Amino acid sequence: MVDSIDSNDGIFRTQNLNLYYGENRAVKDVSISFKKKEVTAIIGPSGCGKSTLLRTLNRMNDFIDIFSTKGEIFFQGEDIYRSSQDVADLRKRVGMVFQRPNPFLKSIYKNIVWGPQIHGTKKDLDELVESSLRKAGLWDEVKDRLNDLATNLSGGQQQRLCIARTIAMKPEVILMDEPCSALDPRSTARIEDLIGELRKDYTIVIVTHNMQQAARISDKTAFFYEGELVEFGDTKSLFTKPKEKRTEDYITGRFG
Amino acid sequence: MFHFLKLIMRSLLKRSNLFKANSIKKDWFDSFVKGSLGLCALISIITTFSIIFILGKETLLFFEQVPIGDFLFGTKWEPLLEPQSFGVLPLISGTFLIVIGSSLVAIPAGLLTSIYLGEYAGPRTKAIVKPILEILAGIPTVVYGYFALTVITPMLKMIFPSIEVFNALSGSIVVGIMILPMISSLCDDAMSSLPRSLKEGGYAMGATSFEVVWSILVPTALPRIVAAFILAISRAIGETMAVVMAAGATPKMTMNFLESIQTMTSYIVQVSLGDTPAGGVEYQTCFAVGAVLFVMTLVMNIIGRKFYKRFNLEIE
Ligand SMILES: Nc1ncnc2c1ncn2[C@@H]1O[C@H](COP(=O)(O)OP(=O)(O)OP(=O)(O)O)[C@@H](O)[C@H]1O
Ligand SMILES: [Mg+2]
Repeated sequence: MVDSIDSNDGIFRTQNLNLYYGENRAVKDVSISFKKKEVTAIIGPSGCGKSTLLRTLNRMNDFIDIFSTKGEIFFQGEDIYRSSQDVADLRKRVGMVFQRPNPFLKSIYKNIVWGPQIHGTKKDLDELVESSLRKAGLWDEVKDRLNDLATNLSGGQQQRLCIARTIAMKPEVILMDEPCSALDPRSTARIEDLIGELRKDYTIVIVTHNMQQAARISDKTAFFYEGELVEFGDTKSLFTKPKEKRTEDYITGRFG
Repeated sequence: MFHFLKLIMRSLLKRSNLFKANSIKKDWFDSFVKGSLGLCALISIITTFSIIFILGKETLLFFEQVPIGDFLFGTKWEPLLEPQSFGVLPLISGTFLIVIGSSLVAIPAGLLTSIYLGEYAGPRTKAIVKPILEILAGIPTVVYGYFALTVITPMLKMIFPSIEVFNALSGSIVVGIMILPMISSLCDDAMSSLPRSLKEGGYAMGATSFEVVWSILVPTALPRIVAAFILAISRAIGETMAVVMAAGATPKMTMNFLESIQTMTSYIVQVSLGDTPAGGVEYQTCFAVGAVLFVMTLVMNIIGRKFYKRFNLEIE
């Protein structure tokens, strides 16, 4: 595999990446790399381009007509915007958890197996459902009602189901865009614990508005401001001794 | 409807109390608007109830002369000939032929159109197709009838040489074309009202548009899609002019699309346009048939609404 060339290269790497909505440049000249089996938190004030960057990594921005990119994004050493890229395959390998839980109007069981099934998995679905739900910390709560509608679960449970659904795809990376912002503190704590578990097996990139959350759960933190990557480094040092004035102002709550 | 009226009345009362202190002119205008709106509501309620009343009265009179069993289960409809027979089944079967035929045309085409416009078409195609559908929906039904007679039927004759000049197939196709815009726009509403995140959830798992549409959007919006079908079907049941012109006026118990048939509505038109004297039993047949029609469309609409409500419950 290409990624053996330089394992320090990161599973995802962008090179002078610019992202545009029409004329509006939402992400400016960003070069960043996300390392394997690390949790990277993306923080920054509203509108600074966090979601835009995240949704570019699995090409979810393809649905926006006016969206365009300049620069490069490598996933496992391959440019994901090259014409031969199989987008479905990319999205299978790079899962995404959204801000609001979005389970399908199907049973809990079907929600989990839906993704693997469209990619051709036919065998051992029961085991897959159990292991995914266990990893998402939801198994004990739902094991007796796998055939109930997923939409009847609580918000926090729905979000863990969405994580389970993503895990069931056996992705290499999980992208999360403010996965806790629609949840109460208890559900949030559960999801944070869950991320702590998942970091053993997956690369996670998480956008969050919650500074404490970023500090608690991530290995690396990237601070964005008005589309620029201001500072990127070990979470601990970024939060304790930020190099940039803007980072310091932001994490101490002086703006944003 | 009563509920609606009550609401208007209540808000009228509330308003006039609340705004006493306000400028008199505005208050006057306000109650004028409210009043005329209330009046309109009242008129439509009165109209509806008079129609139901007259329909019911004449139908009862009819059943004093014709046993209800003969009417509902008779297979011969010849009220204008001697000896008279009043079996409504031929008219119902004729109506069903048109409904089935037009649904076979319009339901797949309408649903696929809405899916195409929603998930596949680019903005340019949309800008062309949507207005066309709107125009299609606005064409007078007589024009459709004429189109069936002069275009569809001759084309069908090339495929089925034995086809009659007036035939159920042509009628079905033309009614199908008529209700297609309704189906596609209601299905479009049904699917575009789903939260965006649902679709994104599917795509984010590497699904194709096909998978997202058929396995997420359509099943989730299904109650509302079915409601759209039912509403469109009740429109097909009620459709008259185009059917008379395309399918003729031969009450016949048949399942053969190549023959001429008569639907309930076309019978009613036939009698209303003819010189049947008012008051006689021939005249009253109209109301009896009308009552059947009314009950059928009412039931369809109630079912359609039920589906619609269920949908709204499930999507939060
Ligand atoms: N679909 C879109 N079309 C046009 N402009 C957009 C679109 N989505 C985002 N933008 C613009 O791109 C910029 C970055 O938006 P983005 O959603 O990435 O910010 P964010 O950092 O995720 O903000 P938040 O914290 O509020 O979620 C904003 O200026 C926004 O107005
Ligand atoms: Mg965002």
